[in-house]
Amino acid sequence: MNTKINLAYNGEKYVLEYNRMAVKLLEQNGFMLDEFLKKPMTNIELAFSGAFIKNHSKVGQEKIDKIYDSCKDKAKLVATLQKMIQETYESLLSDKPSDGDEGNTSWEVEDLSPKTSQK
Amino acid sequence: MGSRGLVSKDESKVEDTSLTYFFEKLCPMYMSYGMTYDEFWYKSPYRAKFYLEAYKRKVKQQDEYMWVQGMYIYEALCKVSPVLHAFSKKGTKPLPYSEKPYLRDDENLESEEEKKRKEENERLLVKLHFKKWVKDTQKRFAKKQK
Repeated sequence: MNTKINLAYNGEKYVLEYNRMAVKLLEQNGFMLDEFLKKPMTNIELAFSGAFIKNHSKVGQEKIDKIYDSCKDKAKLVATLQKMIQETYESLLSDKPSDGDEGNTSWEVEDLSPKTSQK
Repeated sequence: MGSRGLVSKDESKVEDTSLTYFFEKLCPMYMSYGMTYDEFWYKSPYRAKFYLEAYKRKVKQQDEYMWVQGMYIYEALCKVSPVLHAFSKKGTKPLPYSEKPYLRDDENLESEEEKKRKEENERLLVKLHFKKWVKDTQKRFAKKQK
């Protein structure tokens, strides 16, 4: 499986996914997989920003934090990020042939930024 | 999964999982499968799976190739063995070697062109049979009418 998160924030579309370099950079910044598996909420913000490295490396941390804050259903988000990180090494271990796009997670987040009412 | 061992004074081992260590360890292996460094580190992690699969197939193909080669060598030795025999009669000749490769008649290895040609031949043959049958029937019918 090749899980991705598709999200939209302020009309812009983002595709969040990991590559091995992103995971390496995460670990250089103090991310620990064991800790993330045991206590996911402590590392979630770091893991979330790591998911931007592959496709949106120029997005600033401040914006990433805002996007993270606007995300609904954090529990599912954590589970998906965990799965995506696991996939970066499972693809090196698994002998089974590809099962296509089955299980691709689509994550739709609408523009949740506060809207000022016009008078 | 890769793990780094931190050994304390009392020699108890504390392990933590390091994916970086694991990736760095496996990177050369995947590069030997034909994956580039950039593909391994920067592209979709899922690609590695296909490289592994392709590598396994390649090994299998090589094995089959070597097996067939062994068959040819074995056959050649067997065919020439009458001549090599120490007490063979004068004028003994080696047995003829196979006229065509072993896999030539394998349907799976036929080219598309060959398959099409075969199909076309079969179709023409059926057409001829049908024409003959029509002619014969017409003749019989004409005889009856007379």
